[in-house]
Amino acid sequence: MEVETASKTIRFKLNGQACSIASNPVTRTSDVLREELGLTGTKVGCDAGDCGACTILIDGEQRFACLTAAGQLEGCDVQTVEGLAKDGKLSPLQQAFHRYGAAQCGICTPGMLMAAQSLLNVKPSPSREEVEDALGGVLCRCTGYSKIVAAVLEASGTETQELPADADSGFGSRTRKVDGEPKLLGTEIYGADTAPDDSLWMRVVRSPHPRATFVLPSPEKIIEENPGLMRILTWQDVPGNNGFGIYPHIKDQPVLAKDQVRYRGEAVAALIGDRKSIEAVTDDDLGIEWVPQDAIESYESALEGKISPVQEIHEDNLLARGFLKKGDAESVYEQSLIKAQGSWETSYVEHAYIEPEAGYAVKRGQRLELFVSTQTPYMDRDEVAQVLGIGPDQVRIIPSAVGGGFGGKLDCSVQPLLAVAAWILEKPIRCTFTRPESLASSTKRHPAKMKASASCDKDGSLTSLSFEGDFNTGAYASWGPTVADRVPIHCSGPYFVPNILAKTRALLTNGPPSGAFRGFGVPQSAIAHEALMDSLAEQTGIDQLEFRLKNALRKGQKTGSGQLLENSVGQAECLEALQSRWQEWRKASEEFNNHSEIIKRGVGIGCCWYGCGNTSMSNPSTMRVGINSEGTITLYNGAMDIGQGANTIMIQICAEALGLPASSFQFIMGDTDLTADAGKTSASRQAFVSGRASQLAGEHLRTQIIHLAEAEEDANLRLDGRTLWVQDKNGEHSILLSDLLPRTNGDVLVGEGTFDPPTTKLDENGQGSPYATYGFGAHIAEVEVDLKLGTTRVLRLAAAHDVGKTVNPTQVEGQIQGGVAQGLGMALMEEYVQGVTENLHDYLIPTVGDMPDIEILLIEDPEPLGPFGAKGIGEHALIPTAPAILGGIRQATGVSIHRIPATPDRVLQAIQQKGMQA
Amino acid sequence: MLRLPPFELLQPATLAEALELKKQHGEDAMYTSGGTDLYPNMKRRQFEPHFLIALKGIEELSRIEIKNGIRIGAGVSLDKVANHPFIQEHYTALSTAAGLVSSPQLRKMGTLGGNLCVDTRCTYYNQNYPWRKSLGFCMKKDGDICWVARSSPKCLAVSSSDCAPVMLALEADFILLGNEDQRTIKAEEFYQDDGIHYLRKKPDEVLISISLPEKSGWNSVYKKLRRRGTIDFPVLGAAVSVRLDEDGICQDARLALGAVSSAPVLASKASEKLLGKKPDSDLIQAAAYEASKLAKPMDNTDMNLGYRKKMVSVFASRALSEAIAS
Ligand SMILES: Cc1cc2nc3c(=O)[nH]c(=O)nc-3n(C[C@H](O)[C@H](O)[C@H](O)COP(=O)(O)OP(=O)(O)OC[C@H]3O[C@@H](n4cnc5c(N)ncnc54)[C@H](O)[C@@H]3O)c2cc1C
Ligand code: SF4
Ligand code: FES
Ligand code: FES
Repeated sequence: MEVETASKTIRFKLNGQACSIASNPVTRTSDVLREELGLTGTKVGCDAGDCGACTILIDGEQRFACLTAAGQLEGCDVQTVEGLAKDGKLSPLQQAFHRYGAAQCGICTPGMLMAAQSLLNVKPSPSREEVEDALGGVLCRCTGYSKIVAAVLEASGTETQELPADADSGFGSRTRKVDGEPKLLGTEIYGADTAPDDSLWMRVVRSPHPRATFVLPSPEKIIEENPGLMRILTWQDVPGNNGFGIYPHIKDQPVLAKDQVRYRGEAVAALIGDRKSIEAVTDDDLGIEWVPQDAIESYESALEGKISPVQEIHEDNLLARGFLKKGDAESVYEQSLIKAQGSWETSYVEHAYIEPEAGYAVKRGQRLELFVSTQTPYMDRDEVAQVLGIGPDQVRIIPSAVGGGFGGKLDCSVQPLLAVAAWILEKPIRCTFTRPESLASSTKRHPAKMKASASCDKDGSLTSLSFEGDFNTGAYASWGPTVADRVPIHCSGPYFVPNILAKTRALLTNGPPSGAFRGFGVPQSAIAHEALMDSLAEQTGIDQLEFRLKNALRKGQKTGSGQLLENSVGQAECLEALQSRWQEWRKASEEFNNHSEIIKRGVGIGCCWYGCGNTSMSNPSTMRVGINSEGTITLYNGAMDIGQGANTIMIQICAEALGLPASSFQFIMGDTDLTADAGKTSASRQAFVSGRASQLAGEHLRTQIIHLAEAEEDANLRLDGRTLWVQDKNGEHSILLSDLLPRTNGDVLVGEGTFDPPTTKLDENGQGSPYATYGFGAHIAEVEVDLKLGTTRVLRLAAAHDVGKTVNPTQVEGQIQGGVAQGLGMALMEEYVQGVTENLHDYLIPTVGDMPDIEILLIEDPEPLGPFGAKGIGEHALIPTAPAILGGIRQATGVSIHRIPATPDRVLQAIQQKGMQA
Repeated sequence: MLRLPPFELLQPATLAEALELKKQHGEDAMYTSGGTDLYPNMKRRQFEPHFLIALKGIEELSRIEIKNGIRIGAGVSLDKVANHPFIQEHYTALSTAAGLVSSPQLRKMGTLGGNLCVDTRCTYYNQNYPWRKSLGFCMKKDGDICWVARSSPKCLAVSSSDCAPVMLALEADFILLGNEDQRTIKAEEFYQDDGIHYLRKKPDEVLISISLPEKSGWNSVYKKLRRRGTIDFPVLGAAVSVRLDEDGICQDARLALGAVSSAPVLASKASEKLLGKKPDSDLIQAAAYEASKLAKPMDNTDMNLGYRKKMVSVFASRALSEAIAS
């Protein structure tokens, strides 16, 4: 039966104004707001009540816009994020969010603001607990919630943290995000928020099978029957190379699969047409004939060779190997009296950014323009060019604001598909993935199966460490080789170990492609090395923190790859900073345990180190800064801000180098026509590499100014409208900017800086200097385990990180808190299973209530190569968390968890097995 | 974007109109209150009604009446139930359970009636259409086999309402209004252990209100097992209500379990163990163990089956101890 879907007039109050719409009453309110009223501040992260991104107020109370039928708005008072600010002035709540840096990527911010507002409407001075309860239905993947809760409490006047009231904007200050306001106002434009009016929509048809061959019948009939459906794209429509991938020589993932699929979620066709039609035509209507085949779903079946290989060219399913050998770990271990060993297995982990992949593409003359949520515009440009068979200069990538990335938006998602569609249809095309689609198709953290052993002498000095790890890289290469390379270098931890043997393999299976996720395999291997440290410490009778301190890498020592560490090695300082808390917390937990039978507490510790930048590879960044005749300074920032705050810190750094205030800067981010290539936002490289380039660009501009004014090097600069004042000991010189001839983009003076961190190649034993600098850190975590339920709660966590030099404390803290949240998720709950956890209801990420108090200690051992001493923190922040939590569980229960995440059933099983042995 | 299948929203102002609409459209129509369960399910094509009859605008469903106990309209929001002072005081388990349902937004939107009628859940079933299709449909929707237990003649999807077991423990009566008549049935008779036909409600019947007997002198407790502090459905729920005399002798006790089968389960044998005795920890353990025999979890929700089974006695004993101690 056909259902007539008639429009009706619905009247309600919207942000204080009377509003009347003619809409089908069954339309979701989120659609009405975003599409019919153009209010894209309300976000859609799941469309199913699981994420809270769409939270709005109806009659003052928080509701899901994605589950509210428009018909139910009749007569209601509706408030969206756009209604919070009054006369363009941020509300007190928005101001507090701004000051605390509570919006990182900002995609959850509208929902958070509305949820918080609904509480403040009825409880002007709520307690911390009430705030946490009120925010319980909104997920944030970036912040770890700390700053959000703090901001709400401050807005209500309940609690205030010590923050300088209105921080200045210099290097090292708590400058508010330069791109913060639009995120708070709901005016920020993310991938799904805009497209040309005449855009067609694209819906991707994906494989429901992990492995299958298929035949796609000719689409003519369906197109005929559905006038709104313009085209069904298949692999034959790809004008250039039907393959993409991170590595220039491995373009193994088809844009659209030809004849066979290798994982559930692989793209096989794309429907293009008006929105209604592409959604009305179901996958079933296409009549694809699937022949499912035996899939390789375990390490064993990948290695056995019984099932035909995932990719024909990799007969043994071995995509890549990594190797490192220093000294003779095997024989030292054999002879050693104090040894530890173990094996661990981790799961697929999903990035779960709250913004699903989205964007639009449009052909302009002989060029393609792509507006997309991405971490890497320049790689996208080159990728799209080769897929279309055109030159990179024919592609322009304009990044949208990015609602979270964490490595997941380094790989192509919508990009090649949109590009092909727009190129051959010569129409603007847009697409937004659904949440299940995003989960099924996107890359994940590599599951790992690891075996490791280590030894030390009786004084507790490490003598050897061996590591073997298999990393499930899924059906396509993505970043698999990077993981295989990076892990051997890092798998011995931030310790001096004289003998190391490390072997890694990236194995192809019929799982989703594993890619880059904060740490490239290092967080997995840290679980192994930290468990070994605990065990060795115990055997030698040395305190676990002291043991690590004793073995910590220090200046003048060589790493496992033989690299001499000359500067910025703050590992020991991180541990020392935690010492007093460590002892105090351990004592407190012991005392607690004396009086508690079923609930037990424990404190664990984890350490990390991580090389900033690409492994043994040139990875330059170029930054530009210009002043125009009006006196506006623009930073042309190619370093994508994905919420971590690159826009802000690049300006802080450049301003410091230039000698003019950051507040006189504006910025352009990542547009490949306007900015220079700053490389990817990955590998914790932007603050370090692009930061240095920003510094150099600022200095370059400054030199020109000093030159023009014929002033002394140490002159002070001052900008006054169109006049640039340069003051040195000889007096003040002025430069009238409007007198200078404009160069590029209307700028009259342009500074440029390029920095490529020095590295060397690794030899066949993995020896060399793969990174120009490393970041170091340590976390301690107090956990509470219910011995009868196997549930674990993290009560508090302290994180010490050597960041070289802090560019912006608020942002560094935000990175660490967010990293801890993801580390906690990885340790305790996150496990992606194909076909089972393909929504944010079954794939669990930490909610506000799951997060502990986090104390942050910043250690500054300056890195001479970095911008004013700074280096990266993005990935470091996550690495020590899981080891610290797992160590805490060990301490509390006496059992070690070898299958991660440590879900209640696994923990309980381990506890009961130990009980049976005892 | 996850799309709803096309349908028409009917917004009656009275119960009589609602029933009339249902009579008119029969199987093509479904009732909805908050829509928080039904809309996501429709997006997954688990239900494809052509008409939704919205009960939300019907004023008489949102009343609360305190007289010889309490009568709560089915349309009262979970948030109201959770924060109602009288319910908090006299029916603590109910306010606790309502307050533990999902997230704040959902509790504002979702209703008590909808919660009591919430669809049963199963990992094979709570998936989108293409996934269910690729595996092969199961008997709960579009197919004829059960993937959880292939030999099972019936669907084993799990009753996942937080409030349902509480209703059993609190001796609730459900008041149903149909085209033929109005009737009152006991909470335990409202449910049946069949994942597809999990309610003994005629299709045209509207759950209009829930009546709870006067409970002074009783203590009640609800305990919920889930992985995170918010959002998640119960993996297990235990509801207890007990009445002790001044000497601590148990006069009356009711223990009910949620999320252990397709219906909430009343563990009468377990509570009988406590009657006339002064419950100490051994007795509580024994009662909890008795209760756990009733739980027949299947491998179709979060956390493994063995674990969930083990948790039943732990939860039952914790709920009992707390109710007895308070
Ligand atoms: C993210 C998420 C998390 C959730 N977590 C939980 C949880 O933790 N615990 C839990 O118990 N539930 C949970 N739910 C399920 C559900 O949202 C709640 O149970 C809610 O209370 C349902 O109420 P509603 O009014 O929205 O029901 P609706 O969706 O409107 O209806 C649910 C069902 O009941 C029927 N129905 C509704 N009202 C009546 C009536 N008066 N008479 C007859 N039939 C009626 C409908 O036809 C439908 O079949 C969750 C749902 C989501 C989306
Ligand atoms: S229990 Fe069986 S029939 Fe019921 S939903 Fe699950 S798989 Fe389907
Ligand atoms: S979009 Fe509405 S809850 Fe996620
Ligand atoms: S800031 Fe919350 S999801 Fe990014």
